[in-house]
Amino acid sequence: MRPDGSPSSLREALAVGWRELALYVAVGVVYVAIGVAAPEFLFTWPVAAGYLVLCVVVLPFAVRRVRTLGRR
Amino acid sequence: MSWAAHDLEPYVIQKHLGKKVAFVPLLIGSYAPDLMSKWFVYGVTLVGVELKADVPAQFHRGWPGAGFTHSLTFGVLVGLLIYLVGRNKVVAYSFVIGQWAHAITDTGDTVGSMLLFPFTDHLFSVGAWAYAGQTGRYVDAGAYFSGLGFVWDGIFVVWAILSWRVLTRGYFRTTVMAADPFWRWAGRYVSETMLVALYRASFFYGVARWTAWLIWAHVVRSFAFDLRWGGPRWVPRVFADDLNAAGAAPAACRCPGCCSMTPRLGFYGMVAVCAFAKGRTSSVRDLIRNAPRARSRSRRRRLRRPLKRE
Repeated sequence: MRPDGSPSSLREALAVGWRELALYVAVGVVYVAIGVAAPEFLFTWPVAAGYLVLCVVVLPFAVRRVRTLGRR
Repeated sequence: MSWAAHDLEPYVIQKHLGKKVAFVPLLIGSYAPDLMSKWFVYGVTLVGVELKADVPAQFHRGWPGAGFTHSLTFGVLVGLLIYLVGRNKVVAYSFVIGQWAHAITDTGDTVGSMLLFPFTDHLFSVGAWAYAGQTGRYVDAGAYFSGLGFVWDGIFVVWAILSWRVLTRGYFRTTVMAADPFWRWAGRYVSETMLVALYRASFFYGVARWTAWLIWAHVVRSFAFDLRWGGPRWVPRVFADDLNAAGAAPAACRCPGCCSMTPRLGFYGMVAVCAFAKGRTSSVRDLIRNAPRARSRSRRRRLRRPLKRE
């Protein structure tokens, strides 16, 4: 780990966060696909930020919640 | 205008300045000049009434209009206002850095920006890619992603990806949160995962939007690539000279700024700036670092004191 808090190498970063990176890439690919089909989706930052938060934070949280409830 | 550079510049700046800048004001500064003007350039329809500038380029970059938002003075004034309200020096100058990055980046197109307003309403322009905001959002996108504009944005996409360390959670926790009061405040109400997602949102937006518009312009629609200086030439372009000369003759501006902005000189200048920023020209950097500095008054006094005692 470097003094600024970032990993010392890309390998180290991927070892810790490859799942997170894969999620962001997948979400990005879907965003690009929607954007190409309907460019209005690309117009504003709030739409992109909302979409990202929905896909990266809210949906995984909801899935985890549903799974936990399913186990009970 | 730039389509993705303004989203990505803050990450590149963050990488180089670390804890010396606050990310949120830096980002707001980077978006600020267009926040107030761009919707009126492309036009919006409200309750059946279309609102659009009569001369979009004039409104966007010129004077009279909202072109003052693209001046260096505007950044300094808003920065001073932020400092007076919040008494936080880092937040204030982070906004200034972001706004200056935007204003300087926008000199790349054929209209440029009034960098030195209100001292002069002259538009400083490198003229590398066409300004076509008056044609509407879609044609403007097609033109931008067919000329050197998308190359310029591509440089920032690559540069931001090379700055990947600033996107890591550890960096966010140790450096970004430490320097920016916004994240510390927001951290009281939402989870760190949410904060990190919001912090990465502009990077996501910039890279994804650049990719999507590029595919849209050349796969879905068939806009022709024209990577010549000032291109693409198939789109009706607006030039700085058109607006600079609006109130004065002769038509071509003869000021030192315009005369020095020949394409070749502009290209060499850009290469030199990029090379210097990446630390490749260590000799130039060392030269500046080792250059004799003028002594400040306090330092001169300090140096004199021991002599008086003797």
